[in-house]
Amino acid sequence: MSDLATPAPWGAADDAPRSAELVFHGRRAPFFGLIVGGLLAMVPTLGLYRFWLVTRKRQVYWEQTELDGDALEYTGTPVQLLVGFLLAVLIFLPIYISLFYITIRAPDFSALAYLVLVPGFYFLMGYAAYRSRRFRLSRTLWRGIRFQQSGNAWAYAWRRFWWTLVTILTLGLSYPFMARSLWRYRIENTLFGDRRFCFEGRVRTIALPFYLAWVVVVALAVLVSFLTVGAFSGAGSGPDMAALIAVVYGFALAGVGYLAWLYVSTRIDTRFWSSVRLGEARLSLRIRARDIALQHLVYALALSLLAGVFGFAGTSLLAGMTAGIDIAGGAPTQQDIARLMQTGSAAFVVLIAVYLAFVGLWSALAETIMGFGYWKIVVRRARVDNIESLNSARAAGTESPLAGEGLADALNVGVY
Amino acid sequence: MHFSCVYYDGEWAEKRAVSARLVGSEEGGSWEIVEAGSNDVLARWPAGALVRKHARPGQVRLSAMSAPLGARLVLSGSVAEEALGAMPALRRRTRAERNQQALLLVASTLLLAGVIALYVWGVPLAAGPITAAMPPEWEADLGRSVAGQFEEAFGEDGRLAPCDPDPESPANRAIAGFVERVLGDRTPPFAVRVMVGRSEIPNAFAIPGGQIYYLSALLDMTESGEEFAGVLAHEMGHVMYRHAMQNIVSAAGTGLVIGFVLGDMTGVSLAAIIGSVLIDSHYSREAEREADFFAAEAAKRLGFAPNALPDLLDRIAGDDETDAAVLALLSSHPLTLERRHYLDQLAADAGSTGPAFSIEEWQAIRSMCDGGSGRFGKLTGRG
Repeated sequence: MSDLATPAPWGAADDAPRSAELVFHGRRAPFFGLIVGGLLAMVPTLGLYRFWLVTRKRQVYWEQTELDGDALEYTGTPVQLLVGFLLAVLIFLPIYISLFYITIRAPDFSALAYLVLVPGFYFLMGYAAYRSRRFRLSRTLWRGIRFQQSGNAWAYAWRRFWWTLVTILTLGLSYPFMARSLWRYRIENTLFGDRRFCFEGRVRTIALPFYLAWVVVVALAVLVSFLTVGAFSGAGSGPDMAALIAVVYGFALAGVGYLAWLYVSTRIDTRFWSSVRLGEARLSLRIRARDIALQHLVYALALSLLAGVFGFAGTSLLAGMTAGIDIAGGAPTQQDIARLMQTGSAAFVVLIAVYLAFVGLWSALAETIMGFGYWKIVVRRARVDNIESLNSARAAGTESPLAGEGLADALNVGVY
Repeated sequence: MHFSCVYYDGEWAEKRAVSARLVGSEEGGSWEIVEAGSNDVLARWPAGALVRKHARPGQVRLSAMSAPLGARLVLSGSVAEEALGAMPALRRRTRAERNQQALLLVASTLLLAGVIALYVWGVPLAAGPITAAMPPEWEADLGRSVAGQFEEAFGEDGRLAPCDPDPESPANRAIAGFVERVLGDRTPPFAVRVMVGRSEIPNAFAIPGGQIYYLSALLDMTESGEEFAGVLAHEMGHVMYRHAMQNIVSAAGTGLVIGFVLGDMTGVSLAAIIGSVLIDSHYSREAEREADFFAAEAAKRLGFAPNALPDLLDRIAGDDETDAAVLALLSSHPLTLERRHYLDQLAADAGSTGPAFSIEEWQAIRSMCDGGSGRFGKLTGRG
């Protein structure tokens, strides 16, 4: 190869430090269309199209994202996802059958079995998320070089599991330690070609915003409990008044809790992402809390609109269909619906179709406003300093795992 | 023919401005990738090995089968359109690739549809052998442990009290005698036990393991011995066919298939639940028909009218006062016109019929639950 003999890279003959912006070209309307079209295609394909839809979605996210003028490329295929899912089913089958056996043979223990299963699934979700990340990284190309992930998915799952347990036991106080530990494991096991990422985030990087928010929320929660107890035991006000006060306090607490979460999560993401280095190159980005809040507001409005339209259409439809049965008129009762189900007629099919349309539009809105919106927010203020240092990164590794992500799919762990 | 474009060699993370030059024909020739400044030939790609990769609108990304995995040529703007226009063979291959994907999707959909169809029509067949393979003791054990839950759900004050706990009372002897006659020389998988219990919910059901419940509210609405006999024989049909166990087996299978289709193996999503209910209602209808035919066959053998059952069901459905009645019906006894139709048909085939119980027997059964402070009230210790 003549690579070493011709080192001069494109447009950067001198190796002067240079910063490059991340740019996202994606537009919402065609993306929304893509999702809705994909969901429609899932109907005749009995859900199988979802592997094609996920692939199309990723292609859009990747190819519309540019760093220094070079777009990312997603090289995964739908069939890899399909095969991965089939493998995950094979893992689930024994669990499913043993659960069935326990339900039959020892029904008294089945509650216990589910109690074991919930943490078990939480553990598996960590495993699946890590494997899925590896699948996506090893299928991401930038300037012809693929990313890789080292490390062990079981090790990551254990780390996540124990830290979660500790964080619950310490009432959240150990969260910054958990976040740092998991971030570090993920980032330092990520490679671009042969070059390993480095994570410089420390607990103190995020400690101040986190503990500040923790103290505010806990202090407020304690205050609200005292005030509520006081309102109920107070001689002056009646029980109705006390309940009203409790509800108002509850909402105030929830509101402050949301704001605290918004503040902490955006600070942690901003500071930890900005602690990522790749050799000499440094990532820096800023996620603004108000952008996320605006995104949530738009999502809430869109969902209310959707629920309103479907609520109205659904009630009218139900009233129309039950009119033939319900002589007394008025709002349809449980019995009318029950009778409607018994007839097993086309009316029931219409109800199912309406329900599917509602769920489909909901998920299309969620993907467009929350998923797509978040990607935009992250990329908007992101840049890489010393980008020229990446020119000397070299290809390494292959696509792995060969068929992937099935477990993540089966466990509902979907990230882009 | 040549185009200026960007080249990544798939070895180093740098981009180069190159010119791609076609030597020979698009079918048999090759593309030479020539660096813009130095005119060095960086790579040669056989034209027939060229593959088009996905790129955003306005860009064309090309790779070659023989080149390193990440090697790419990226063409932008008008050059991209021009280049595509000049490569009919590549366009053909890309189209073929897309058709292959579509074919794959169609094929796997058909396969899945086949599996589901096999499941929907095959599970009544499969659930039978699977259930038969399970030792009856399993089901009896299960029945004992779930009986408490059922009695709590349907009884009063958290327990279902038998209207008449004395097994030797005329009413209980009449019921036991009827069960004997229905069984004839058949051996049930477990001992069939019937309990007439005090409850405000008009229902009758069989739980796993051979226990049958006939609730007092239903008995109040039962107007003839034939109606009572019809319901009892129907529930005995469920016991004989081990429908309770078959239901559990098929519900588990349904959860699996639905989870498979929706890709949600945790089975917690609402869509999965609705799907399960839809498919499972199909099985319970199948099971109801089997139990109906069992009851009709027994009626024919014992010489009583088999079509009294739908009259009773109609009466319950007509009683809109209790939501519970409708819900109970919905859960296990989908009342359809079709069902009434075939029961009437069976009645017509049965020819002349007589009573299922003697007048005295039916009197005793009907008054089993009369009054908490009556004759049997003393026996049960309630008062």
